[in-house]
Formats: sequence, structure tokens, C-alpha cells
Amino acid sequence: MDEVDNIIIHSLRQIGCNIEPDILSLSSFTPELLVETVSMCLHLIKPSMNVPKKLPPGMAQRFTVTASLAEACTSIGFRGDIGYQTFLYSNVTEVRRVFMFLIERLPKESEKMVLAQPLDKLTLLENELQQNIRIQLSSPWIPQYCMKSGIRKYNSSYPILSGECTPFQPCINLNIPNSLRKSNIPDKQQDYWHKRSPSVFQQTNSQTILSSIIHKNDVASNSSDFNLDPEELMKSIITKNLGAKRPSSAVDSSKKLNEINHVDTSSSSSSSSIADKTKSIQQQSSSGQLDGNTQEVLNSEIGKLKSAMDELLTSRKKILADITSIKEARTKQEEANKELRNERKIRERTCILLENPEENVKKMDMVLAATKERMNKLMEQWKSHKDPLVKTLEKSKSKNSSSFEKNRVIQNEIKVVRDKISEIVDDLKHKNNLHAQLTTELQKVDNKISRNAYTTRILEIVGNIRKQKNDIDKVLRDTRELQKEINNINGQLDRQFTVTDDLLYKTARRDEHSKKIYKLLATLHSDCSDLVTLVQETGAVLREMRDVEDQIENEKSRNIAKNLEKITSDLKEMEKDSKNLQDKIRQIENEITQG
Amino acid sequence: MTLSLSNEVVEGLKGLGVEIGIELSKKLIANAVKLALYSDANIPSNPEIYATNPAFAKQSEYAVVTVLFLATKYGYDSQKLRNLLEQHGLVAAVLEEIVKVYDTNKKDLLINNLKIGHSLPHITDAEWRLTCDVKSSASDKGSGDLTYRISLGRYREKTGERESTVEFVCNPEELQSFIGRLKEIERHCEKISAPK
Repeated sequence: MDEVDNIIIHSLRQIGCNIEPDILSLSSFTPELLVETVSMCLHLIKPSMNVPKKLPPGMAQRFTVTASLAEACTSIGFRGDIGYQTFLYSNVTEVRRVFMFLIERLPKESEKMVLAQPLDKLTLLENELQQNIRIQLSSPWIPQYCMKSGIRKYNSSYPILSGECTPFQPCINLNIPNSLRKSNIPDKQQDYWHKRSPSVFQQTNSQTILSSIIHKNDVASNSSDFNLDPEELMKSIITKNLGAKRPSSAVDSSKKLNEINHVDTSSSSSSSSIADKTKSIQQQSSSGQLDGNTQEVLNSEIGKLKSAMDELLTSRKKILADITSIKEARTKQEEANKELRNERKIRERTCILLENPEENVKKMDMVLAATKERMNKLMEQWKSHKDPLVKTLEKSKSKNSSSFEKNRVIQNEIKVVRDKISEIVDDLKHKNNLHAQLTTELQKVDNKISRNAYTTRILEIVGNIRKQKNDIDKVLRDTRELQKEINNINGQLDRQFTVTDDLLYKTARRDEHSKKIYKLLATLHSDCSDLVTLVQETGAVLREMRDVEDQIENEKSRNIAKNLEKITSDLKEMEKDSKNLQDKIRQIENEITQG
Repeated sequence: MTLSLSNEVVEGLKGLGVEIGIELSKKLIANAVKLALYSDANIPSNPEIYATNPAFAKQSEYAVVTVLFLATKYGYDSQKLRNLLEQHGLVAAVLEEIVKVYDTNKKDLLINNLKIGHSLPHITDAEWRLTCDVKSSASDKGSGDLTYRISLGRYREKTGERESTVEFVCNPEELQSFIGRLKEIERHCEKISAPK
């Protein structure tokens, strides 16, 4: 039983119970430790259950706490005998049974690991599939004709179809009025729409309405051709979408095409004559009016023209390059011209001023004074305009400043909170990773040590049990054989006795000796049967003795003496408590009567 | 692929509450959903809807049904549908009504959409008969072999009559291997559903 105790204590330590290392078996569990560990197990098995976690000091409270724990154990399915005495006056075998039950009911490690795994899209999908299959497997079977249109709703909102599917066959000529575009539509059609055209529901039935509507909308929003076949429509939509997926490359290539076309148009003027010629030649050749010789001549002519065209293209390229270089040179020259003109203006003015220096200085002074005056006036005007505006600005600023400050404070707070959130999230991620790592490590370590040892031990125990079973079988076989032999001998004896009895009875009438012999035989027979019954009785007594010895041992193992002592001491305490309480009540009553 | 509505649909939706009154629009929406979902049932006609502007009423009926079916097709929730309708600038009361109707009929719409498509027949029933050759056209003596004549099928939804999808014959050995295969499928199902 030590092995079992070890396993129990090991698994209790695993779930986080605080068991001191010097405790090696369940017999050294104190009532306090018992209550703590059992309540921990119960909490893990059923987190919603509200169980007391510690044993209180008062005797009456102890009793209620242990009774509630016992009730909780029975509520999760423990079938053995359990009550307050199991915890307070513990008996090792009972405690062992309770712990074995509780540890079996503990949630498995694998269930916990599922929760700790990171969730990406694929695992979410897999989980959903798993759950759906599980729900389907666990739900009862219902015949098809009991399901309305083959649909079955499971407890999630996920309907599962086992019925017929209506094929996707749209009515492609759905006629829907387009009443808001009145300008393009003839009066007759409008009249038809108003008076005669059927509604969507009249044009379709329950089988086709959905497909017709989806088809119609896709056709109308993707192409102008209303009478396309669904397959062709799919193709056109797919090509459109494929085109839309790589817009950058398409734009690039169209740009390049445009550039090429642009270059071609510039050169087309020179080569158009050549092209015309080639065209006419090709037309002529295609009409088949010319014979072989002329064809050769024309071919050579085409070759010549082509080479001439190539030459022209290369010369054009050169010319274009020259043009660009000349343009660049021209822009440079124009810039230089501008600078030179500005310089010339300044120099001309200085020359004019230097012609009549005194007059010019006076004039300049006058101009300066005038400009100063004007400047002052403008300043005054500016001030007169500025002051009221500044005042209003200040007012509005003062108005806004308070709200601005509030906003700033709030923004700052938000920033701080966001920073905190990001920090906490990072911390959380880090800790989650650490947790996952540690749990995996813990699992590895635990599994290596405990499982191997326990499995080998369990295998040994199983082997022993098998041996013992074989021995027991042997003994049983032997006893059965013995029983058979005994029965045979008994039968023989009975037959022998009846035969001899008959023989002697017949002769006993005539002979005195045989009379004696007959009497002796009768006494012998009765004595022997007495002996046999005595032997059987002694066997029964021996068995009873063994039973009683077993019972005595059992009772001894329950250490009744100790428990009795404990119970008597607890009883005394209870009596003391009740006496104290009664005294208090009396005191209070006296106070009340006196008061 | 994103949900795109054709011009006809957008115009039909925009006109609700503008071309015809809001109360009438609400009636039109409710009627359209009923007709679209339960067109086989006897729904009394509602001539009031077509009284003022019949052409537009027909167009917007089509528009409402289209929006609801497409939103279901693309798995929109009510918030997404609301965003879509807001983009197209619908009248607020009409928008609310459409979203409300979508929310209340979501499950039926989903079932309706799920029922469209191509699929192999589901098998929901198996019938079998034990047969034995006594005499054939080729020989006067039958082989005496037992064969199972099995028909897998289903019940038609509307009529309730049985429809045989596949019929085959196999001897006990073949039947054993067939059952073994089916059990393999069952085991696989259980394996998938078991938590890792």
C-alpha cells in the first residue's frame, strides 16, 4: 500500500497541495491537511463548487466544515461510506479510498494543454470541425423523414443538411423594371413595366429564385451582356478578377505600349509611304495576279525598302538625340540670358543716378521721406485693425485654452494607458510563452520519473497477483478433488454399511454371536458418525476463530482507543463551549431582568 | 471577392422611403422576405404595395431580396450589412428595417442558401434481402451460394417515397469487408473528434 500512498501524495503535490516532504504515507495526514487537500481536489474537479478550504479551530465549526466536504464528495459521485468522521477521526483505508476516487476524477493534463495552445486560423477551424463531429456523434439518431427538409439544427446554430440540393439553375431572362432611368426608356416599355410586367416572385419559383437573383446581380454588376451563359459569365468574372489582382504590372505595360505608339506615330510620317507600298504589294500578291518573276522582284524590292526603313529609323534616332542635346543647351543659354538682363537693368539705373548726383540724392531723400510717412500711416492703420482682432483672438484663445488643456490631459492619459496596455500585453505574451515552456518541461520531467517507476511497479504487482491467483486456483482444485473423494468414500461407506447391516440382520435371528456383532456394528457406526460431526464442528469453529481474529485486527488498525480519546476530548471541549455559552446567556438574561 | 451590388439594386434600395412612403417601404420589405423564403406557402397578395408606383415597387422588391440573399452568401453580420447599406446612402428608417429583417430571418436565409448547389445524394436508409441461386438459365443446378441484395437510398422530401440511389449484390465475405470499411470510417470520425 506504500506505493499507492506514494502515488497519491505525488499527484497531490502535482496539483499544488502543500505537503511537507517528511510526510510519506496517508497515515501521517493530520485532519487539517486532509481537509486542505480534499478541498483542493474538489475545487479542481468542479471549480463552481464552493467548498471550505481550511479546518477552523472551533469544534462545532469543524463538524460543519467536514460534513459539508463529505457531502461535496458524495455529490460528485463517491459511493463509499463518508462523513465528518472520515476527516476528523481518520482511518487510513477510508482516506485512501477517498483520495483514489478524487485523483481519478481530476481533470487530465491534456485538457489543460488544449487551452494553453496558441490559436491561429487553422487550429480554430480544426477545433470547430472537431467540435461539430463530436456533437454529431454524441447526438441521437433521427430518421430522415423526421427532419424538415433534411435540416437538423444542433445545439450550436449550425444546421446540417442531409436533404436534396436544388441545383444552381438560374432563369437568365429575369425582367426587372428599371423605373428610375426614365430618360432612356420608351414610353411603351414604361407602360409595360407599370401595368403588365410580372414581379420577381412571379417569374421564379422557390427552386430558382435564389440562383436567379445571384446570377442577375452578378451579370448586371460585372458585364453589360444580360444573356450570358452562367459558365461564360464565370469565365469573364474570373478573368476580370485576375486582371484586377495585378494592376501595377498592367498599368506599367500599358504605359510602355503608349510610349511605343507615341514613338511610332512620330516616325509614321516617314515610313507611311513605305507601309503603303508594302500594303499594296501584299494585296497584289495575295490576289495572285502576278507570276513568280515579278514576285521575286517585288520581294527584293521589299527587302530594299525594309533596309531603307531601318536606316531611316537609325538616322531618326540620332536626330532625336541631337534635338534633345540642343534643347538642353538652349535652356542653359536662356537662363544665362536672364541673368545678364537683370544685371543690365541694375547697371542702367545706377548710370542714370550717377548722371546728376545732387538732384538725384535730393529726390531720393524726398522719396524716402514720403515712403516713411506712408509707412507710419500704414503702421497706424495696421494697429487700428490689429488691436481689436488681437483682443478677440485672445478671448477666443482663453476660451479654447481650457478645453485644449483638458483634451491634452486626456490625450496624455490615453497615451499612458496605451503604453501600459502594450507593455502588459508584451509581458503577458512573454509570460504565456514561459508558462507553456515550463509546463512542457514539467511534463517531460514528471513523466520520466514517475511513470516509469510506477508502470514497472504496477507490472510487478500484476505479476504477483497473477501468481497468487494461480495458487488460489490450485488450492481450490485440490479442495474440490478432496471433496469428491470424501463424497465417494461416504457413498462407499453407506453402501458397505447397508450390505453388512442386511447380512448381519439376517444371521442375527439365528446366531447369538451375530446378534452381538450386529449391535457392535450399530454402535460403531453411530460413534463414527459422531466423530465425523465433531471434526466438522471443530473445522467450523476454527473458521469462526479466524474470522474473529481478522475482525480484531481490523478494529486494531482503526486505532479505536486513540479515536475514542480524541472523541472524548472533543466532547469535553464541546461541553465546555456549551457551558460557557449557557453562562453567557444567563448573564445576559440577568442583565436584562436587572435592567 | 467582395459583395458588389448592381446599379438596379442600388437604385431600388435608394428609392425606398423616397419614391414611396416609409410605411409602405416597410410593408414591401416584409412582404418580399416572406415571398422569397416561403414562396410555396399561400401568402395573400398585397395590392397596396403596387398601388402608387408599381414599376418601382417591382424593382425594389428585387433589390431587397438581392441584398438579403447576397449578404447571406457572403456571411455578413448585421453590422457589416449596415456598413454596406450606409455606403450606398439609404434612408435611415429603411436601412434599420432591412437590417432588422436580416437579423430575424438570418437562419432561414442561411438554410435557403445552403440548399442551393450541386451535391451527391445523401444516403439515409439501407434495405437488404438474402437471396440464393436455385436454378439459372445457364445451368440446371444452382450454386447454392447466399448473396445479399442491398439497396442504399433515401426518402424524397416532398412525397416521402423511397428512392434507391445504389443497388448491389455481395456475398457474406464481401459484406464483411464492406462493413469493415464502414467501421474504418467510423473509427476515423471518432479519432478526429477526440481531443488531441
